[in-house]
Amino acid sequence: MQLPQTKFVVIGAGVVLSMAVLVFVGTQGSGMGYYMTVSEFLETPVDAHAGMRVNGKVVEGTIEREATGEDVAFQMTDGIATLAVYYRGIIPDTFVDGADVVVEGRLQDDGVFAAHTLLAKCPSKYESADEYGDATETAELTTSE
Amino acid sequence: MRDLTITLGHYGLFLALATAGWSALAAILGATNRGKGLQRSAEHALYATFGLTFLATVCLVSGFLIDDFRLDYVYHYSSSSQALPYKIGALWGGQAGSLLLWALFLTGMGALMVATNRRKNRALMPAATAVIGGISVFFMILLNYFEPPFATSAARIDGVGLNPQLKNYWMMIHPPTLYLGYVGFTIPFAFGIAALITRRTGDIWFRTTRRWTIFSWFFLGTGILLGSYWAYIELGWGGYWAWDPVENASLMPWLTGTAFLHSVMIQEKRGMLKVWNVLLIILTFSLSIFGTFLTRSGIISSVHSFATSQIGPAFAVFLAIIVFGSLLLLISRLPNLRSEAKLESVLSRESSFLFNNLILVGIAATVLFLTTFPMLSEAVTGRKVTMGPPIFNLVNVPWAIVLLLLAGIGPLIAWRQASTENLKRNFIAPALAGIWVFLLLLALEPRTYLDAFTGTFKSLFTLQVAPMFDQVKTFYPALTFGAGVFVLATVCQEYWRGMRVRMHRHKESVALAFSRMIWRNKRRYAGYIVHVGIVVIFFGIAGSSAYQTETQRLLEPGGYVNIEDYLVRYDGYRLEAVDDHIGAVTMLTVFDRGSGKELGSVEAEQRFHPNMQVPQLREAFHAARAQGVVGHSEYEESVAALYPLIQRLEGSYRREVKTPSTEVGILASISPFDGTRFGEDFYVIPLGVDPATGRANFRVFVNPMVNFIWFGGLVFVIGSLISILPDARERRRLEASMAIEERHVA
Repeated sequence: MQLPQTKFVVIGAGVVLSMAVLVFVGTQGSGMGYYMTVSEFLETPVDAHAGMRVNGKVVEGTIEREATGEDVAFQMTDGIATLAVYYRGIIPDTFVDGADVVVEGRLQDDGVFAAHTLLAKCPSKYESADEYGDATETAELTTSE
Repeated sequence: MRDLTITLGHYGLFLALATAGWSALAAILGATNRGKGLQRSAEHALYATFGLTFLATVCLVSGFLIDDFRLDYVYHYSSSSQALPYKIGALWGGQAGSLLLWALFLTGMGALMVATNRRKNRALMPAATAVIGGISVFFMILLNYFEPPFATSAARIDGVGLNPQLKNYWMMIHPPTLYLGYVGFTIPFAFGIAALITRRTGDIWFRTTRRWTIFSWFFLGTGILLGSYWAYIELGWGGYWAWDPVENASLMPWLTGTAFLHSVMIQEKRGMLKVWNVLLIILTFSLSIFGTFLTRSGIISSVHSFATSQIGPAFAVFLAIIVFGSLLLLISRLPNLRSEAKLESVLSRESSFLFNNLILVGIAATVLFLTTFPMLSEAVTGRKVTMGPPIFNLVNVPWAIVLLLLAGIGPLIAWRQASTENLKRNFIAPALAGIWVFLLLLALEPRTYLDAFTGTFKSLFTLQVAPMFDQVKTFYPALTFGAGVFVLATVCQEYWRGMRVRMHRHKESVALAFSRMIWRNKRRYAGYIVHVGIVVIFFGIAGSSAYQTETQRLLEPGGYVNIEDYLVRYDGYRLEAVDDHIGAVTMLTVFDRGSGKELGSVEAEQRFHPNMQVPQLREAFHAARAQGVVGHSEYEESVAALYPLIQRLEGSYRREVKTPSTEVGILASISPFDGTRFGEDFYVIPLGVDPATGRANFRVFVNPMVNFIWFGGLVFVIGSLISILPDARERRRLEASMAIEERHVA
């Protein structure tokens, strides 16, 4: 192989290698987080909670928004266990009943999860909207739940 | 009438599947001796496919226009109270309609390709037709069997309506723009494959599709910009880019497409990189399909993912066929793709373009890895992970700055081997300008930079890479500005040199020389304009991410607050019920803190979209909205009464009956008289507004230089549009290549 090509390959390999190193370093830091379901989280000992994110769905009807617009209490579930969450910060517009959420924070002594980050993804958008008929029908629906 | 449109649409798509299938089959048969003459039939079938898809699209749009809520798709994404533009835009609000739009663009471009190549490229056309036909078949299968847009149910009174966040002007034009970009790469891809199949691996395939490539690349780039603009003004977190999977999906093909646009120049000039160029177009097209797949399948949880569906496996199979099929074909044609020249020096244009390609593809690869890692991790280890923006920034920002620097070096460095003379002549002045700006910025805050400098070396000696980059980060803005000024200076120098020659030789005025120079060599000088646009975008990103500030204040109407260089007065609020929402509009007046001069006023709104499926709420909302024309105080009272009603209903239904959304207020300083504030945004979000008292909780971002991103975007658009115009020089070059190729074949 000619010299210029060798030189280019060496420098190029350096570029690629540095990218790989940066990716590796990045995944060791705080940028990457594991997340757990609610029940997995509750089974994990408290001292292993650091840097954990919890994923679940917002239990319908549990959202209590405060007038400040940046405080909200709600419950989230993975279908097995339920976790009470308190969050302060910008509430995303996608945060609604049934939304898929990821919270980051810590479990307080009173069993409430104090979240400092809240990510929300729209539920399969209004698909349960048909449930609203007239009021009586829905009343039955809520009692049967 | 109603039944007719549904029937027409439904069967139109079915027939489109048949014609697309025939176009692929006939093109393949036509290429053999037996099916002579079938190529014309294949091309006509592509026209027919486009016509039928167009018909189906018209039918679906008319379903939206006449509120035909029997159509499931119309029911889900429209409602009778939805404004007209959003009824049309709802076409791509969901899965089936988006796929239909994709198919419409694809078949439209296929038809255009046939129309423009009636007498040209007869050797490449059969294979290209077959590729376009095959891809159309895939989308028609999806539309007929996986996501039929014309599925119906029993009649319904009203529709659910489009997701409120999507009701935004920019969001309406963003998806079609992106799709045009994604889809457009199909044409150069088809010609690339045709070149491999026919072993005509010269430069015809990419010269003939050069404008297609720029067109797609332009729309993809514009789509990305529109998307970030939408995120910025609609999502209300003060930022414009979050390395969200959907965003990444559109960035990756744009990066590889950029690499392709640059690397084909080396094949044109030196006959090198033939394999690499085919590989790049395969990669770009595959990433376009992958991008559509990511966006539409909802496979990776994305903060603003609006789609979840079952079409994932179908896309995965299709993507696998594309990738492996193309690569196998490429491998079988390697002997036809031998390079005609060798790299002669690392200091040459070839090598600077190669580095540009390496970085662009490298960034695309890391983004791909980081975007798909959560999916892989969950599949392999069962652990769910998230990849935050810090990782993407850590990996990509340093190399993006090097890339910026290369944008200044590449166009000026000599081919083959740069002489010292060439380097001196082209780079001394621009390099000095760049270094001067860099040092000037360092001198503004010597302490900070000195600390970061020593910190960097401390971490370096203890081999801690992550903390080292935390320190290096401090230099990114200054490095970006330095590199950017270097590029701008090279461009100015080139423009000036070109103009001076014209002014001397043709005795032209400055303006005439300027415009004629660009016109006569659009590719080169418009390319420089695009570079300028990218530099300005880099400036905007560097400035707004390094110097953004965030403040939060609780204010009563009439209250004042100081935020950074601003004095803000909360004037008051009004309640409204319009379109499909109620809202509290807060009004603020912004002053310059030092001089007290009024800068302007801003309105920001907190909205609630009542759930129209709740009869009581729907009636109350419509009643309040109807009052809008009657009298002001009654109107406000009836709107105000909706808030407690919602609360009461939520109590009895035990679930929320509203969807919140926020309209941010932005005061942009974009007048040249704004001085140091030029390009800055005062960006306010009302987090909560008490409908009774107007007491409001505001979050305010001050985003310096953020408007440079949109200015740069505009320059990018202008440059790309000029380079897409027909060019006599390019046409001559293409004709020359074709003549050479014909002689070779004969």
